[in-house]
Amino acid sequence: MQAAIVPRYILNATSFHLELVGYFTVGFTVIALILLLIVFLNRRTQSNKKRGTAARKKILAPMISTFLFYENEGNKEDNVEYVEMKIRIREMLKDKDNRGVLTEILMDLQKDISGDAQDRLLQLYADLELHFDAFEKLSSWRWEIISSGILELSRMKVDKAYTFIRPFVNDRRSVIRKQAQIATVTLRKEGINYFLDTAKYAISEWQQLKLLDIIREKEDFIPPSFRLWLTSGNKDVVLFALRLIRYYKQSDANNAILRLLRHKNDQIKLEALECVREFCVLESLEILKKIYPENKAEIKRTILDTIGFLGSETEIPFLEGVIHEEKDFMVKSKAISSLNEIKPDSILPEDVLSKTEKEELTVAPQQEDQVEKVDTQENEPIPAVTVTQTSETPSLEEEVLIEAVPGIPPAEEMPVAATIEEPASKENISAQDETDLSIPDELPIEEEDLEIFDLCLHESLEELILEAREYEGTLSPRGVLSLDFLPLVNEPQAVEPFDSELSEDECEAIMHMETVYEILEAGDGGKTEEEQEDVPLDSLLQPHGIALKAEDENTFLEDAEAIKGENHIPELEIDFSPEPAFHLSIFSDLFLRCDKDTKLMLLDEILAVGDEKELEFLDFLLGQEEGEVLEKVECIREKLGSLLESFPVGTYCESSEQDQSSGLSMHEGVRLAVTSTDTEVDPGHSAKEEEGLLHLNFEPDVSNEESAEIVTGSFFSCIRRLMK
Amino acid sequence: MTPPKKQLLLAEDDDLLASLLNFRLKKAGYDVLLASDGQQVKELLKNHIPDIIVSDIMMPYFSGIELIDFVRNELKSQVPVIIISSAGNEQNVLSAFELGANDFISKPVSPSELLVRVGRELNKN
Repeated sequence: MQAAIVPRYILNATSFHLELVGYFTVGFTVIALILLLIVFLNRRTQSNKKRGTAARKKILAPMISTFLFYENEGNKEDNVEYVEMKIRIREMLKDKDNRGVLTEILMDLQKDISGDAQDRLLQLYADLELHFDAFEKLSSWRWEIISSGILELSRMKVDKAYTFIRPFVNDRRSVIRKQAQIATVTLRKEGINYFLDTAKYAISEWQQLKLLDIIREKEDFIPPSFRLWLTSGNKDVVLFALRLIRYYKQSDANNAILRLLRHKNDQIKLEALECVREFCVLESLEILKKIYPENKAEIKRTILDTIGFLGSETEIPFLEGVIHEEKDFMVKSKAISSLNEIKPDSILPEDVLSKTEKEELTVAPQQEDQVEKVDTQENEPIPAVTVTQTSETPSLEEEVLIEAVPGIPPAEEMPVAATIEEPASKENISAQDETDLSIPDELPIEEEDLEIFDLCLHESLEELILEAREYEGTLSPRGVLSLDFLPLVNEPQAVEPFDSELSEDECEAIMHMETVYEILEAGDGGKTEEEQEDVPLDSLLQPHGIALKAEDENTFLEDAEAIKGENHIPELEIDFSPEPAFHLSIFSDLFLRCDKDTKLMLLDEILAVGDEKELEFLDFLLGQEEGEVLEKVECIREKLGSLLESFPVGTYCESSEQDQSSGLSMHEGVRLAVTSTDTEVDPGHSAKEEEGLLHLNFEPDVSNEESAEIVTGSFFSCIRRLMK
Repeated sequence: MTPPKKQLLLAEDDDLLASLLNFRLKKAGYDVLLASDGQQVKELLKNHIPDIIVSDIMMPYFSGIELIDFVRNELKSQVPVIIISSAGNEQNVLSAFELGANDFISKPVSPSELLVRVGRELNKN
């Protein structure tokens, strides 16, 4: 093994004096102990002092209370006690610490009490000559002691201290300076004058607020005319003076304020502009226009704002000039708003409109009060609302026509003269729409009505189309009539052509659907606009559903009666082909959409509540399902069959009254015929079931519009029920 | 025979102010029970319910709001409660009134005003 090589520098290192280590250790330990002792003693002194102070406070506090609430009218014992206490406190006050504690107590109490007790307390402070200690503090070289002395004197409202504190108003030490400023303003009413006269240093916003707070709370304070300090060389003094002028509403300073509009300091300019606004100095308008170009954007905006606030129409050319010349977006916007403030709606929003809407807007010829019609867009049967603005300055493009389209405020909300034109004429509606909707001229359907109708119709039709497609494709070739033919109002692109494969019956039904619209349109034909307005909106919006149960049939027949008698109402007959009975099962819809577990659960329910419809539905499922579900279907089918044999259920019509809520009164092969005839119909035969065909005759004694709604609403209600 | 003194519970954590108000109230003829925190107040109230309570809102352990809640809901007492609150404590004052405080006085407190309010509340009852 190779021997370890020891570096030479270790071998040559000087010997280390171990005794030195010992000395250092002892030395540091002694220092540490001394420091610990000092800290310990210091803390002990402090805690002793605190305890002493607390003890003194305990003694002095009741004495102070006695002094504060002593009354000469008291009895002899009280008077003796008072005199003894006075002697005692005089003795105590010979001790400086006691004086300090007493001062502390009085200052604490001064914060917490008010009214006559506070006055007495301040008087007691003065009587005990504690303020001399505060004066002594003012001569200290330490800033915190001076500051506390000033604070004490100002809190205890020692008026005599004013002259002693004044020199500190411009002290180079900011804490003392601020304290002195507050004390000066607090102690005497003229303190604010002295302060504003002599202040050389900056006055912070916070300090200004505090000073304002002090002078605001001063009783009997008569504010001097602060315009005197608008000429100060200290910009903060000028600013503070302007704020005080505004606060005390000293409108005698207008001339000086107008001069300050040209001040080189932006803050002063802004404050002066605020004053100009506050006092409505109309003379400032010319100056504002002159100084406008030489200012920064922020000042420009304030100037424009002020012009908008104070100005009249004579300022319009100036503002127009600014709008055209100014490049700064914010300044330009302010100029526009000021212009609109002087002359409302001089400039209306135009650029912000979307491209399409812009295209729709046509600028009217520059003639006053001329109203122009705006053609509606193709395929949009929305009534056009033309808004025309009269203009004196055509260059501003004041005439703007706005079509009442969603997203634009209604005409009555727009602050312009608005004229609502007649609804879009028939020519404005595309040929396709005419075919689909056939809205005649004499049917002034409101846009809102149309939109609501659209929504209702759309919702119903989507539901129906979805269901119909499903049934058509999966269940039965003729199960449910395809409803793709139904026109979608306002969405021509969604309207599909007639199914070429429709049966004759279906085509006939289509024709009847068109007739529904014709009723809608013709319903108002013979009515004046006023009459139409009388129809409550709710009646238009809420379709009157037809209930096909015995009880509800009466309601339906009332509706039918209401429609009957209107000679020109064409006959309506919607004939649905017979559909498999299982469609009427409440389980069918859900069953065909759900997963396997749910199907199993549903089958249990079918057994529990099912009847013949469910039986047929189960038969249908036997050919559709497989596996576990098929097994269960077979089992349930068998059980339900035996159950029904034991307890046969009557026809649905017979049981309709019991099954009102479930909507099971509709039975197999219901053929709904909503019939409106020209002739009088025997009320006894207004609703009858003959060979599965339900004939409903309408005899309207309500408005045509309502009738149309009833028919439409009832029709969709029927369809919904059927689908359910 | 002089009528019995009305008993007043003064709950105030500031010793100096408590001492001053105590002196003034005693001088005005009230039998004052002093409590410097919420727990003391609770102990005192469990033993005896005074004729009126004057309490600061901000107290250690148990605030004036909790005190009112305790008096009204736990003790089921309708003893008048006057609360003392510092300025800018409006929300607490509103809460106190909602819980059933009868009156409030804001700091700095005028002892004379407090006496008037106490007297008025006692006269109401």
